Amino acid sequence: MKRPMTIGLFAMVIGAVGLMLSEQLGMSADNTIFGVGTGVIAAIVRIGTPLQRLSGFLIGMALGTVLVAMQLGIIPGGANKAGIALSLIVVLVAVAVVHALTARRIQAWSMLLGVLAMSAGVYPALAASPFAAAELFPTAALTQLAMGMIGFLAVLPAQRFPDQTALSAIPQPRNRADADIKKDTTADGTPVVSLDEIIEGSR
Amino acid sequence: MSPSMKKRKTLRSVTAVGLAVAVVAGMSAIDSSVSAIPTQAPTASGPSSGVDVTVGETVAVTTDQEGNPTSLNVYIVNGQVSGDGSGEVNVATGPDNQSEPQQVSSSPGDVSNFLKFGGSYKGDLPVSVTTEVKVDGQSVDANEGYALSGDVEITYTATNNTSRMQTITFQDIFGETKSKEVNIPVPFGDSFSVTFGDGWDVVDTGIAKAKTTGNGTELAAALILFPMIEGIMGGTTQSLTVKARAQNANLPSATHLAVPIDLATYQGGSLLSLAPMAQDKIIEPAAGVLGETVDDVLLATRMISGYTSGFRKLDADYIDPLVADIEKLKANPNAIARGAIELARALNGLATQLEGDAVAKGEIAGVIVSIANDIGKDVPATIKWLEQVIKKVGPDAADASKALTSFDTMLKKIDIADLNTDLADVDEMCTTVGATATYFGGTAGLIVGKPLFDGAKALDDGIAALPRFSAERKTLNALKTRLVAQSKDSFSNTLFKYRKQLPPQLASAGKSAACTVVDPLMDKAIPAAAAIEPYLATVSVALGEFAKFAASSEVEEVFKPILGGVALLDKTLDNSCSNAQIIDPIEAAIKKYGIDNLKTLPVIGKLTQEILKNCGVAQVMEFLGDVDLTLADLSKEAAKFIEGTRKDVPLITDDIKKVQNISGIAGRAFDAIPGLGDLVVGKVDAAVLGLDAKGEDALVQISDLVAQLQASLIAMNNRGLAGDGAPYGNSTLASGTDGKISNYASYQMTLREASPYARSWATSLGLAGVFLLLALGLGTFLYRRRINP
Repeated sequence: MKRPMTIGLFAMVIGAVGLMLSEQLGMSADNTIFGVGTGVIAAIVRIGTPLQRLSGFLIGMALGTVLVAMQLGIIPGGANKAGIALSLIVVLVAVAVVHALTARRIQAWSMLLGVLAMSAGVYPALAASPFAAAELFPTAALTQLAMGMIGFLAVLPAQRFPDQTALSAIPQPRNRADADIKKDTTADGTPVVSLDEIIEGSR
Repeated sequence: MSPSMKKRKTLRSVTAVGLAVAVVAGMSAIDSSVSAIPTQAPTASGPSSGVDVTVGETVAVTTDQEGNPTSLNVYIVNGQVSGDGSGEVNVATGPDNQSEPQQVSSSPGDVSNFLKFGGSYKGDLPVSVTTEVKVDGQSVDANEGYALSGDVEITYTATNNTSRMQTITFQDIFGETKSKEVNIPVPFGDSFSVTFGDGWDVVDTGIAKAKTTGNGTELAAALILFPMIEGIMGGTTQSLTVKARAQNANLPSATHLAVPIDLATYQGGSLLSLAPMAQDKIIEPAAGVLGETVDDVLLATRMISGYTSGFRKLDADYIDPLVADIEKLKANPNAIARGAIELARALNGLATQLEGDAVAKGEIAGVIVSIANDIGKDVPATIKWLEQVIKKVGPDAADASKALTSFDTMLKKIDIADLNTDLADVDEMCTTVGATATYFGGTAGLIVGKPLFDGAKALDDGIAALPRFSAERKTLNALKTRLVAQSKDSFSNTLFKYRKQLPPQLASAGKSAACTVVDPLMDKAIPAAAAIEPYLATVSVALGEFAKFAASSEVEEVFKPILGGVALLDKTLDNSCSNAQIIDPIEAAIKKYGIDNLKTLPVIGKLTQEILKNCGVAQVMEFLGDVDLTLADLSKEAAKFIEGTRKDVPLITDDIKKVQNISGIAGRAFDAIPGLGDLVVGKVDAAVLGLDAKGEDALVQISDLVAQLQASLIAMNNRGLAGDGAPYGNSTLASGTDGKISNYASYQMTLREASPYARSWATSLGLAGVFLLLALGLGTFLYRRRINP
């Protein structure tokens, strides 16, 4: 009970700060919610350290910049769907390469989250002013990042809690054995193996 | 250089390169498609020698909502070459007369194109734009016009900044040359468009035309950025206001497309032919060739589309289909004519739009042009009226415009059917009694102690000749009393009433509401009236003969037709002549349609002429001291008197014998008036149509104003033709190159959508940095201390 309340209280305070800030910055409600939402996801998906997740998020935003610039016509190639599709493939390959080069420390999902933040958060805000897109882009991207970080901070306490209980009030197992049982079996007792364990086992 | 600055610089470089690549790629695509399809040379005409080159300069600038240009601006030059020959064109490419040579060649039937990308435009924009915003009545900085909610009033303004003082010369109506120093701008037209999308509900489009599209409500308006008719149509600063309700919406992107207008092709060149029309075609009107204007539009459209094709998202619904249509036209030369017709229709629509407030200003413009046509031919009333209008145009144009609108509205209230009915009545009356119809009305009635004329004087003389206490004298005194009373309730009172009905703005113009010919004509009317005098003497003799006849034994037999005629006259006078309901509509109709037009109308043409005569005569008679009123009323009273005393004919006959002046009065009423009227009509008409004195002053004044207006328009047009409105001036054919060259220019100013992201990115960078570090630091701190179950 204490953890959700702590998270809720923190989210309320940081969220209020974020809303006030977005109001001051003149951001629309859509952009605010989307920006904060991406940060919340980066905070509560507990795969990797905060550094790894946020690094992935930033790399993803950088890759997303290419897509957005192409869609807005700032750089050539976005004039047809084939060009967009090709660039999307290039972005996905880049994500895979980074993932591999960092020995999987920087997860693909965090980079794709950054790409999403750019292409679904920043692009719509600039599409109406293609002439001015290049000039507006830095501010839009940085504001999106700021909102994302506010979202991350809003659920910051989640970093301290065990992964599977970060946002849950489910009572903790009394001992490790119970935890193992709950973790490795379904309700009817069927043994289960997690995807991470399979990946780890294949190394 | 800091990393952030490096990033910014890199981003800008990438943007600039991307922009250049996009523009060139877009233009190349169009150019290659144009070159690949043989087309008919659009401007070639007849057996031409040499090249026919058309050069267009385009500046495309992005500004913020307040009109401040951003770094995004592009200058391009493209050209089209046709005809037969080769040579070199000096293409303007920069300020201070910078130019680059461009080799051109063409053979019959070929059309080729060239393009020069000039980087950023370095000059000042000739047209500046601004936006003012009010939300729920409170002013808001236009650049902060994002996330708006409430009742929003947006005023878009464009200002032509090319004015300069210049001396113009023009000829007055006598052929003398006059000069004056006036402000002369390059004649720019501004095609404005904006689309209000999600979050907007447009309530009032102002002068703009609205169209619903998939993206929202698209508004389009054309602003005339030069004083076409000062204070009435056009001006160096023009605005349009849009009212809308907003729900969390941003000020949308808007576009001003400013183009120098060649007035020779605008509205058929009529603007440049005002003075020729007014001065008996001293100067031939400039030929208006719509096709050239169509070429302008095609060219400008292609240039703009070439630029914007690099921006895939921009105006995709507008430019791309237009470009496609143009390409189709090129593929099918026969369709060019049809396309031109369509564009001509569109241009006509544009011309209509350019009139701004189509109802009020259009009517005013029409009236002024019509009057310019009529100068020297119209009645003085119309000229006097125009004089009032023109005088007001200068110092107080808005009031004049309002007054004209009110006046026009008033004129429109006249029911033509009623007017025709009234005119028919008058026609009947005039047919019956001829110009006698003029002898009603009056101004002050008989005034005791004031010298009397004609009938009134004759009446007084008659009274004086009778014994003091005789019954006859008593009868005539009673008659005189009635005449005085009736003269006070005269036509003039009705005129005054009519004048009171005029809108207040027309108080001065409506000084002589019903018959404004009076004032300027009085000088001429006096001698005309003097010519009546000898005729009166003749009439008096004739009446004396009548008196003798009346005393004869056959008098009773003669009385019968006379009484019948008097009764008819009386009835006619009662029913129509003194009725302002007839005169006022006729007067209004004259002002509304112009006298020449009225004369040509089959139904009322004849009547108009009659009324004109009558009106003029009536005024003369007023001037002569209400003689017309006296005679008219006297005739009625005489008829009644005679009719009432018919049984006493012998007595009356006896009285007539005794009082010869009474027979004079009656005689004039019965016989002399039509002849008198005819005589006066001739004199007055000569005075009216001659306009020798005061009318001429008005004519000269108006002629000067019209000629000055035309000279100003020609000077403006010449500035445009000289390339003053072009970004870097006109391109020219190099010496030794045979052919002709045409230059066009356009400025596209795109107001970017109001956006919170238009502010400096430093703030966002700071916020993002702080929150990123906090997230990273605190997140890592807590993560390392996470609870392990």
